[in-house]
Amino acid sequence: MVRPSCRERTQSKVTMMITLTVNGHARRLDIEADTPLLWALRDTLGLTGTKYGCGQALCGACTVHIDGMAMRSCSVAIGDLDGSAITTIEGLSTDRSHPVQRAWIAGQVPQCGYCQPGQIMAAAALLSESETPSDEDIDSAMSNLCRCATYPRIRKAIKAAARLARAEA
Amino acid sequence: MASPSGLSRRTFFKAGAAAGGALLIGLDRHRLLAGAAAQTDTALNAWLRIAADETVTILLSQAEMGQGVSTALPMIVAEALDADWRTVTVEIAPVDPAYRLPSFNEQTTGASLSVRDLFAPLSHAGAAARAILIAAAADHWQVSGARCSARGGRVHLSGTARSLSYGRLAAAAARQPVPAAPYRKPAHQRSLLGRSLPRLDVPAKTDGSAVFGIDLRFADMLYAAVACSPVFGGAPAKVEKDAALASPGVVAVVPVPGGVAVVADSTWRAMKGLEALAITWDDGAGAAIDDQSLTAHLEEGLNQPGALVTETGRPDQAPGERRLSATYAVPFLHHMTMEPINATARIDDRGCDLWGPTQVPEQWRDQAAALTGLPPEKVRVHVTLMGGAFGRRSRPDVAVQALTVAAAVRGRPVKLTWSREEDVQHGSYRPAVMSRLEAALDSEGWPTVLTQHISGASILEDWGVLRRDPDPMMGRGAADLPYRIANHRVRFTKRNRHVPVGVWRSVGRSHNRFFVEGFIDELAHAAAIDPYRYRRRLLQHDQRALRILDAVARRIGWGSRRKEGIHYGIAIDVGYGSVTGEAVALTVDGEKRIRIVRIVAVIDCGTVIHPDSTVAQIEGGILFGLSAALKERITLAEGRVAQSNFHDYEILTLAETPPIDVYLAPGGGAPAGVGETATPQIAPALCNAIFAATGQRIRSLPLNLHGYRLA
Repeated sequence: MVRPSCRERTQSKVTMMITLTVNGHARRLDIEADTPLLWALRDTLGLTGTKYGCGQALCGACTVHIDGMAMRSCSVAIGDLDGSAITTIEGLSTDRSHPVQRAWIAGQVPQCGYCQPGQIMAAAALLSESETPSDEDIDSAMSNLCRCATYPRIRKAIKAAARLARAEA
Repeated sequence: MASPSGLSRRTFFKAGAAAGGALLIGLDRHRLLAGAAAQTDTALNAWLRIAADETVTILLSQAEMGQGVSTALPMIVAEALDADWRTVTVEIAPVDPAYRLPSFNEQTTGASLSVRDLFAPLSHAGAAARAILIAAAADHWQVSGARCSARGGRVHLSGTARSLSYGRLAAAAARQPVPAAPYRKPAHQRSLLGRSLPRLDVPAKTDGSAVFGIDLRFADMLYAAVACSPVFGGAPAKVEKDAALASPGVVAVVPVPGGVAVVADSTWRAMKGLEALAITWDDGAGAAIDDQSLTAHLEEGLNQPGALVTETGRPDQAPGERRLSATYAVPFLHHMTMEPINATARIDDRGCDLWGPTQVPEQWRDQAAALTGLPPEKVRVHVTLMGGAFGRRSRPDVAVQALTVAAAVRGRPVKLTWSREEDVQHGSYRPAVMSRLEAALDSEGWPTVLTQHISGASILEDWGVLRRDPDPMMGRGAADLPYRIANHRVRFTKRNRHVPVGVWRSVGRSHNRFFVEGFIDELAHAAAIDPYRYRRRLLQHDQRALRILDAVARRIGWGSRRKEGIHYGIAIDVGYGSVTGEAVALTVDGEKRIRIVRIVAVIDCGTVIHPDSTVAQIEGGILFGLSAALKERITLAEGRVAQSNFHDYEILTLAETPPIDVYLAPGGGAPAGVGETATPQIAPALCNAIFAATGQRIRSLPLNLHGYRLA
């Protein structure tokens, strides 16, 4: 039995030049256009904070901000991002000072920690849209998977981060 | 509990000084790597070094998989040492006999043993180092040691203001004779243990700087993607490589046991190269195996004599007015660690390095020595952080693959990463298990006899290390019944097929406690006795368990809200040296939609090292078990696993997480196990509550097979 291809993607054997901003720095990549942003970040740019969990936009471990919106980078082709501004977990702050990061540390949220960059990026995006997220807002926005099930602490920390952000606004 | 948001000067997870080479792991961007401190460091024993600048480097022999050992174990050393906690840094230990767990005589992380097995040796190591530091100070001051005391990283001379720091004393201390029985500080003088110190690994896990196995990067590293036979036991019959070799960045196609790897200059290019390979599989005999034949095989096992696991009293002569019998079943389960399986290896004439997320570094080392022919001393294993393990990373399969590829690209490190699909379809599955339970009740409804037959694959047999039937792991949670029943027997029939099986958080307890706690509940209802009271009576001999059972019932408010349609289920386990009770309060509507009002857990784990981390492990353990109870199942068709990713092997989400309250009720004594203690009880507690609500007895999982789902 011939092993079937597990992904249908545009075949692209020729590289193209992509210019984008990553964490405030201009980057030029000469890369196959169908390369997922996830792998361009991890392998080409060495930004390994963004994680591979499923490759099918099911788990959220690869969540970054693209032009301010939370997106799953495993399912965005670099060829579509010329001129875009990307923020990864490494660029959320220089010193863990983002309210979400502070709340995550204060609440001792991470266990294994692998899903947490994606969780944090999703939470930061939620808070940029909603100052006082309700439980329903959190349920909706936070579909990132966590096998250690730090979920109770994630929920509490989002509310704590929202309070921090409001207090400092 | 809050720690400053500024970066700590403390390095976390430095690579060991023995690592050598161009190791670019940087967990703390502001501290240079391994070897930098080596010149001014003094090793006082296998577990700790003290530098002239006061840095206390504590060696971590256990894998940090989220359970918090990278803080808890150094706390134990630092407590006994009387170190200043702010000066502590943690370094991964190399593979060495000094780091073997006494219970397994192997360097390994599992069985909820890290704190339990190492509390004594680590306390001893800290105390011994403290003793020689004091002796060095006494020597320096030319006084008797009795005039010296140690605290906060300094030795003080009583009745004076004089003190000397550990950093200053370390070199001289190393020349002092080590006492065999050093002074041990009494428990009431402890200043670290029992406190929820900010976990050392948490900050790096919030800014992307924590390096997991899959994140490793070396200057000249290659990347590999791998496909193994979808049918277990199969192998490639034909591999057409041309398209793969022509794929961008691909440098090699390498056979590995049971499959093929493609090597390229990036992960994505390796995965694309793998897609371009045309592999014709020789499925082998396994292709004929499917769920139907596996289930039939298990059922047949229940009718065979099997091997005796335990017997007390005379089960076949036990009297009883009413006899009950029930058959329970649970499916294969997958670990679904968020970080897929991976390993990185480099082999050259000088030696071999293996890096990665493993629970079994000594096994990795031995595999490498066997494969390369190198003596063990020339093999270095570097354990990284891991994105979950739950028992999956105690199978060294990926190390063998990485070593095979590294041998082919000799001299260059290769990072071999499994896709999620490959991971799901090549698991180390929690076995599918069936069990028939039988009991007889006396005239008042109390059990005079309980017999149980378990049928499932033996993990140790699958691993090739079973010395004698029965596999002790398969009877755990059944043979060690917490309840006093005068006549008791457990038998086990080994039913191994081609499915690779392994240890899944709580192992045998994960199925046996579901079977037993469900059946005990059935007996209670048959006797028309409240299931909490029923268990109380059967636990009269065990004050420790009774205390926890009572606490759980009290905390959930057992039975108090029945008038509102809220129903209750309870389950308890005595395992890993701890006692953990859980109760569920829920409602079920007419469409089998469950609303879990609350889950309560109470644990007595002896002495608590780090309270908050303990609570986190109980929360996580409950939700791990809840996820499986509700919706997890691996199925097979044509000899291969049908599931491939999170869309068809769904796990619990944040939106589905019910309120959980965890109460720590340590009864004193040695610190006992925590990591796996909470997983076995949630499925039976939940199903017992469903019975109370609906009258439907659930004897097989997952619940969605019976139409139950969360509201």
